[in-house]
Amino acid sequence: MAAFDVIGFTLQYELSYSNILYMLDLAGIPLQAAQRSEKDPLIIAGGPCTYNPEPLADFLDAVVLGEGEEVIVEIAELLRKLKQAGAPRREKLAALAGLPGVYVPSFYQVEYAAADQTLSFVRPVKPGIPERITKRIVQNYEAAPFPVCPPVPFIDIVQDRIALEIQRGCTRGCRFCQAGMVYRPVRERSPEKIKQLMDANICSTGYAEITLSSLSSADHSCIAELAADSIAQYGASGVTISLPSLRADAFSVALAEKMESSGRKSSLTFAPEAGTQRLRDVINKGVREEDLIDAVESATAAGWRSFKLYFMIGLPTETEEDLEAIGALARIVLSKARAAVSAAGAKGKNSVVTVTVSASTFVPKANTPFQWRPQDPIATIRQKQDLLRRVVRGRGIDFQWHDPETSFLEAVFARGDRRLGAVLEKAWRSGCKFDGWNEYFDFDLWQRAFAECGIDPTFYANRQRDYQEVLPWNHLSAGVDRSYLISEDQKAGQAALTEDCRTGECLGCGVCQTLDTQPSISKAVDTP
Amino acid sequence: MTTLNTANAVGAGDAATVTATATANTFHILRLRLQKKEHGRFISHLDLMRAFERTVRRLQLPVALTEGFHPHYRISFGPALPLGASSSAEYCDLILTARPEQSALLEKIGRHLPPGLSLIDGSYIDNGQSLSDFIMRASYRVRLAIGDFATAEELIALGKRILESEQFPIETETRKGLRTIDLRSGIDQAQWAVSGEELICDLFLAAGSANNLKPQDALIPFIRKGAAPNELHRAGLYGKSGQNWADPFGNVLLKWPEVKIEGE
Repeated sequence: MAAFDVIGFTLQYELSYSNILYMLDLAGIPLQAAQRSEKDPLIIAGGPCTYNPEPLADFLDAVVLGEGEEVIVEIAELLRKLKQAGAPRREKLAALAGLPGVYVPSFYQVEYAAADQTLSFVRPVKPGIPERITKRIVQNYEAAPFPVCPPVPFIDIVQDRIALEIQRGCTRGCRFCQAGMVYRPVRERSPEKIKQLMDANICSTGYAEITLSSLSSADHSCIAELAADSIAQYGASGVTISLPSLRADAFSVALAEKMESSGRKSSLTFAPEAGTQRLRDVINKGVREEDLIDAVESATAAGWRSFKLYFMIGLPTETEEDLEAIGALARIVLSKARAAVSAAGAKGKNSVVTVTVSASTFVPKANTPFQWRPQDPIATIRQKQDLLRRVVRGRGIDFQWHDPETSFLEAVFARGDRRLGAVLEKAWRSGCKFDGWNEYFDFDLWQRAFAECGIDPTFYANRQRDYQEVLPWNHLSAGVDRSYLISEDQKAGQAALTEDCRTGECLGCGVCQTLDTQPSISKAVDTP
Repeated sequence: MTTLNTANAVGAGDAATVTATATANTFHILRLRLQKKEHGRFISHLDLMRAFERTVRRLQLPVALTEGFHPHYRISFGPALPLGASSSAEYCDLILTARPEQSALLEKIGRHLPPGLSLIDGSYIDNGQSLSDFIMRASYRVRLAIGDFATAEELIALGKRILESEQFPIETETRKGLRTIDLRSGIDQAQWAVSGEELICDLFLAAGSANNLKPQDALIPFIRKGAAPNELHRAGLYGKSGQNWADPFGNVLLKWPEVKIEGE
């Protein structure tokens, strides 16, 4: 690995950071960017967590913000030229910093206020380095390259299918959702292009399953025709088409039914996220109880018997009433599904309905309207989980929850600054790795690492931040205006909804102006 | 090579009466013989089936589908091979709904198989039994490292003792726990030769649905004497053609099979 000129890491999840150090170490590459010599590869990162890469600033030579299709070619061409010219590492980094969307952390200086330990400033150390880096997007999504000949493994891997991206971005505007903010604007691939890519992928891989992936595939304006056409074309050769996630409404269920025309239906998952309408309005999750009931009733009629409901706890403004409502909602879903089952005359095993409630913990993320909000302390989350265990119960109802420590660590790194680099290295040196896996996660080791570095992790996770505070990622932009994020956060306080920009009216999030682009929708439709 | 015993041992009985797999004339059976070599040895039987199915789908061949809600290609394979073994006898039947010209079709399949797998032979089978009904024997060549606990002569004497006995029960581990099987009834013929530090064994074993002896089980008495298999290769699969043994394409064996491994 160390023989490569450049190594790229995807920052998919904060709890994978220790593994990046682990991999660098296994490859014999110095962990700290400053310690790497001319013979060492350049370590570049991309992916969703680059919207706050600061905890990794010590270890990364460069970070790419946004979509890679074009910038990756620019980086490769630039570095090839510099390598041929025998340019030193420092010169390569300076050249990289000149590319739009590329952030070289070592060219920025940070300073903290003695009084409250918050950031005083982040600024370039020399002229010619941009003060602010804005993410890249491909100029023409429709024409952007998409892999049509991916490697096909012999063994049965996780996600052993073709994942065909049918659209990028999401216009739903859920206020907790980082993907919904940072992948804007929404752009659809045309049905013609999708069919062409589907065909090329099946012919090159021979896979028997395709998932039409995106943040919210049922929102694609041509999804119904696309589903019908693909099934007509490939169903006869044993190829199944699937969607990665479902919106909670009857339209989505009808779509899933068309795709999963099997006799035995697996379970259906919906994500109401919160128990009361008030709290769903706070987070701008446009799901109404009627939609969910509709979806469950149509799904039951179509043969589904098992439902999973995803919720998040610790959301801003959450009260006991919101948590109790999760139990009530699960019971309503169960009783509506049972009524639909008996109306259909189902008997025996086929009449048993199960509802699984899964509650994850809210993690505030950079570049979202909730980036200033505190995460609930671990003890509070534990109390809320206790309460849920009392109210989400009964025959046919199952409750699942997550370790609050994992979500806490995620929250620390999601909005951390460069001082966390020392903690990360210490934790890794004391044995932390695979933190996303329960059997490896050792919170005690992490706590010791924080203590030894003299850092209070609750400063990052549990503190309400001021709009005026210099955030560690202030110099990194996903194109969405800070003022829009503030207004969304304030609307959350009033439980006021924000429309979907698919319906036509611009909400002024700023992404199209900043990136000189616009949403691209194949067909104008009324969004359900 | 010293032939110790060439007499037919207790067999699995005659093949079932001929039954056509394709029930209607609209189906055409293409029988293929594949080779697993080099890294292909590490493709398990299930993975081999999936890799082959993907090859067929890449080529968009007119393969018949199973009935039901989850239609699958109608492809059937012969008996499984242990992981790590090489083989020049991985047979499969493809049930087609059309009859593309044979040589062009075979050329196309051969060209699109993934690395580690290759096509040795193939032909339309018009009045045959299914592979599972037909196959009763498998031939293997094993290269056993002799080891320090027994001499080559002692290992050969052990082999001789197995073949001369009426029964040879051994314990073997199955998915359901330890089970005693009779090795003798599964060994039709066997011969041994010493080559340097290795004992080369050619085994003609019961295979298929009626009686089946896994080659790794046939080796248990030798492994308990310190011998270690360096290489296991399946050379052929056979069934009855009248009174004779024949391969799945109907080629009759006039004498018991000489094991040939490509590259030797």
